[in-house]
Amino acid sequence: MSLLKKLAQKALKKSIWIFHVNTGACNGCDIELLDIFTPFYDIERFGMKAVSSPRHADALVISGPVTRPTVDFVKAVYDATPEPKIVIALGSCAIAGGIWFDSYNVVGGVDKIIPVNLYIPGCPPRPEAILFGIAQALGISKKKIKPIVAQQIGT
Amino acid sequence: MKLEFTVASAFVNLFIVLILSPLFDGLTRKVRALIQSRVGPPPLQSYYDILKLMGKEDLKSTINPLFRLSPYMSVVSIAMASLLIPIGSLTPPLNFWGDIFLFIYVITVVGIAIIITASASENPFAYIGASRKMMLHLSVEPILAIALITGAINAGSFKIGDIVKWYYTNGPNVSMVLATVCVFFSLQALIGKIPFDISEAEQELAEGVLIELSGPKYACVKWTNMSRQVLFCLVFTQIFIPWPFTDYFLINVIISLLKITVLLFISSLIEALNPRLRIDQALKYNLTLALFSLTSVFLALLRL
Repeated sequence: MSLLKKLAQKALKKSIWIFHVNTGACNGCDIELLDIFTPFYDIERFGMKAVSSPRHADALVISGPVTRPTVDFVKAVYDATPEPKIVIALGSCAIAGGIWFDSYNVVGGVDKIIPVNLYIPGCPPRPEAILFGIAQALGISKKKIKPIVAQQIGT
Repeated sequence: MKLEFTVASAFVNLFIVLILSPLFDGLTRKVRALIQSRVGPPPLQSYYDILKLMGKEDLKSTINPLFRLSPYMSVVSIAMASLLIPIGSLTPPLNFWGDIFLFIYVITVVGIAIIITASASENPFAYIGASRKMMLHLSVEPILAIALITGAINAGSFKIGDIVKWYYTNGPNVSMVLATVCVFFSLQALIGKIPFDISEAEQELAEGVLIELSGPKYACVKWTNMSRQVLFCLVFTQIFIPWPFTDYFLINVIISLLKITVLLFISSLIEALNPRLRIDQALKYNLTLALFSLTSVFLALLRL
């Protein structure tokens, strides 16, 4: 049984299935997300594909600021996804509300409702950025950021 | 000798239908990707998918016991059906009187298990998918059944082994050619590929019958679909076109694998180049084919 679990852990990195949740986005991020399934970017070479039910998904890609009517649905979608799962906040709005951060019917970023594993900034983020973010989260590509030291900041 | 042959050929059949089927699925995905000018997933991708789903959490979306059991039933019935097909030699591993009826029954159970799962899963999309799948099954299973019965009338026996032996030695006649053509045209509906994947229709029904399944259950149903693809290709190549048969077991197995590869290549070409049919169009298509295959029974009764 533990052997099967280990194999499943290894296989998980090679086949991430994405379920896309729109919590009130302007469709900018959605179209950029659709771009990564086109022949030009072809995310299926990493074994990723879009599924149409959260029960099949490994990754929830959430775009848009969480508006008040969608709060319950975001929680329900999170509960409907089987473990192990990763949650990806896509775009400025999903990270912290974006330009709607202070709006009357917006709760804020996705991380106020459910735990988020990965933030992909941009308005909208480029398809390359989405690919790079997911690849970093899975450990396919190395992190390219250097630790910040005092000299770089210039104090 | 007899027992050894049974065990060895049963092992080979199970290996091809259950273990090799994700590899063939990877092949069809690669072909589809190349047609769409993509790179496509690695050939072993379907193994990764199944392994990953095996390790996922099994969400209990309903307490219905049918929902829990029927995905496993579909895998078991695929394994059972694979034992009735001759691959290595002209006789299948299990060879007894009336196995043609058992075969038709068991391959219907594969679809029925998925219909039961969908009906028990309490999801409106799954209900629509289940009713569509039932209509599709009721219209397409008779074609294969009638074609097998045509062979049985020609060979004068209800054993699949005898039908294949008769067909191999006597060559095709009018009725068997008609039955073979009918099975070939219904193959896409039998394996549930794109002109006929009406019950799963990702864009309109959100995977219809499979929508509530997760984790190991979904892995089982995925695996069943891949195995069913290989199984029906084997039915077509081994029972309806049994020609290049040699005296050697291994060479026969390799020939049958090559034949399945060619057939799956044709099938994935059809899948990549065609749109999905509506359910009424699919029913009309299948019923026309069923009428043609009924004609083959009458021709067989007239010894043509």
